[in-house]
Amino acid sequence: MFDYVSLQNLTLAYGKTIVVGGLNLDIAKGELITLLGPSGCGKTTTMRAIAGLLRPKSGTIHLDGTNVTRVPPSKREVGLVFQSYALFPHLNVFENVAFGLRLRQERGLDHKVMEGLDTVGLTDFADRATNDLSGGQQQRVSLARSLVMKPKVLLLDEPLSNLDARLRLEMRSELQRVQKDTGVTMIFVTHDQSEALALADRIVLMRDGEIEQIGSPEELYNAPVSGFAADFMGFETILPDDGNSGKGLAWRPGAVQIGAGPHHGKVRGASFAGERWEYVLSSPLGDIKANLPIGGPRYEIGQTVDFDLPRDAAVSLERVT
Amino acid sequence: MFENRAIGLALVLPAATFAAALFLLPVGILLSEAFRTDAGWSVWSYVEFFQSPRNQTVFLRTLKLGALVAIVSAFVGYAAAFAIVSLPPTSRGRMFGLVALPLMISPVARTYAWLVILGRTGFVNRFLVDTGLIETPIRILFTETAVFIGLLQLFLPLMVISLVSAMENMPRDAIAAARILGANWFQVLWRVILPLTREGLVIGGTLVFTGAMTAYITPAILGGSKVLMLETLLYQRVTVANDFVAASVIAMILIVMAFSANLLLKQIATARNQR
Repeated sequence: MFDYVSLQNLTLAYGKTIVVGGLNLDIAKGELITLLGPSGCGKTTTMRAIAGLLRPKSGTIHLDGTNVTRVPPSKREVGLVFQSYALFPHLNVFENVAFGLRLRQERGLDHKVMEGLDTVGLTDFADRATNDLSGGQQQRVSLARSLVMKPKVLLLDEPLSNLDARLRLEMRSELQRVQKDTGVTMIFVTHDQSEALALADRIVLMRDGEIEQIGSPEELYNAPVSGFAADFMGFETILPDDGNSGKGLAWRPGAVQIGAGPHHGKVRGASFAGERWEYVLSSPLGDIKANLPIGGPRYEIGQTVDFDLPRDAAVSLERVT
Repeated sequence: MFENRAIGLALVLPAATFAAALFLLPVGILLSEAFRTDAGWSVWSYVEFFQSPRNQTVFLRTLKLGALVAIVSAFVGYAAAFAIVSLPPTSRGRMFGLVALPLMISPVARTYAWLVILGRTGFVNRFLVDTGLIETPIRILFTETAVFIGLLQLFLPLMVISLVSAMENMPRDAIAAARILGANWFQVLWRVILPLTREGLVIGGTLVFTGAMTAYITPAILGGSKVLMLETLLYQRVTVANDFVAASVIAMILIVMAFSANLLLKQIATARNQR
């Protein structure tokens, strides 16, 4: 059942630069997938290939059982919410949402457009010019414009990155609600791990054009396979395991204990973060980040302290890098 | 606020005085010539001008060639501009430079080159004869076709440059968004690119039309006295006939045509957008 969207051995390139090499990924119908990774990892490129904006160098893309590798974007029945919104400034909100429906010459256009605007809570804005809207509102118009087309897959390219923090949380839950209501398969591209954790059914972590790890948010958060994955999931201290196995151990800042232990370090930074103190220690093991609860002992910058990296609080990694 | 205003006026004054005294005033005097007759002020000179069949022909030819050059350069310009903005930034700059390069070469030199290419023993004729398409060389020089080719080559860069900057100002991904929403390339052009670049089209169209209409060297060299245009006719009236009244009538007609072309293009551009 995991083959509603299926990427097989997909290699993507800009000119001679290979951006994605031999990617395999199967996505189930109605799933919300996030492609997570740092900039340049190939996540946006993969998304553009699914939309048909980039022709693969090799490999195939199947959509709902059909090979669409050579189908132009206009015939793929996918939706794409661009990072830049990409609204048409010469058309008002209503006409932006109606754009695709008009091309299909669908019946009941007015009703469908207003329904789409209702889904994103913008019915009162139908006659407005898009330039008069805030970033969040433009984002919603862009979302409605894609949704009214009833796409097989809705692709979202960093849709929240241009919004301020409060709006971002609001849009995040809005997207979840829309996905529940419509049941549309979503592929969400982001570099923000908290966004990926909050939204995704499954996270696809990408690194240098390849998949580093696939799994549920819990799996990635609790059991990263590599130092790269651990770093992305908020583990700040990553060290090689004993010996030359190539395996590693990772600790979250909260797992590091200060005050006693076999290691020594010098406090290099200390900042108050509301519910905790965040320390940075310089040590022979490298920089160690440690969070301590409020109300415990305080350490000053420049002070030498003992600390411990408890083995039982560590997550073991298959690869240290 | 008043101080700023005063400074602003003071700064603009020298240039404004210069333009008024040395440009607007003489032009005004020259143009008023066409409204002055022995019997006082009247539009008689215009009526007289348009009564002559030769003048009518020249007027219509100027209008036709100007419009044709503008329309063809718009078609070619859209294709060229789209190709240029689709390039990666470095090659885009290079291509843009190549398009602008002819503008730095004297129109006299560029037009003389056409004499060599289009003449009886020129490149085009020799090619046609050698390939057996025609038996004897055909006349291309001193025809409307020659003037058209020369003017198109002269003014096409202005259209391409206007359209390139208009396309660069289109929202990023607007074309991709339209494609994904189901638009084929014709629909992308008609519903997205054209409306979003209409200002560039108006500017480019006005520049090319007025440029083609008021060009002197190209019609003089490639059309000669056989294919007169308003500009060459004007020169002829002044130098050959010493007829300053007819000359200022023509000048007035050219000015009116330039302004009308701009207004008309703006009208067309905004009309398409009222939906």
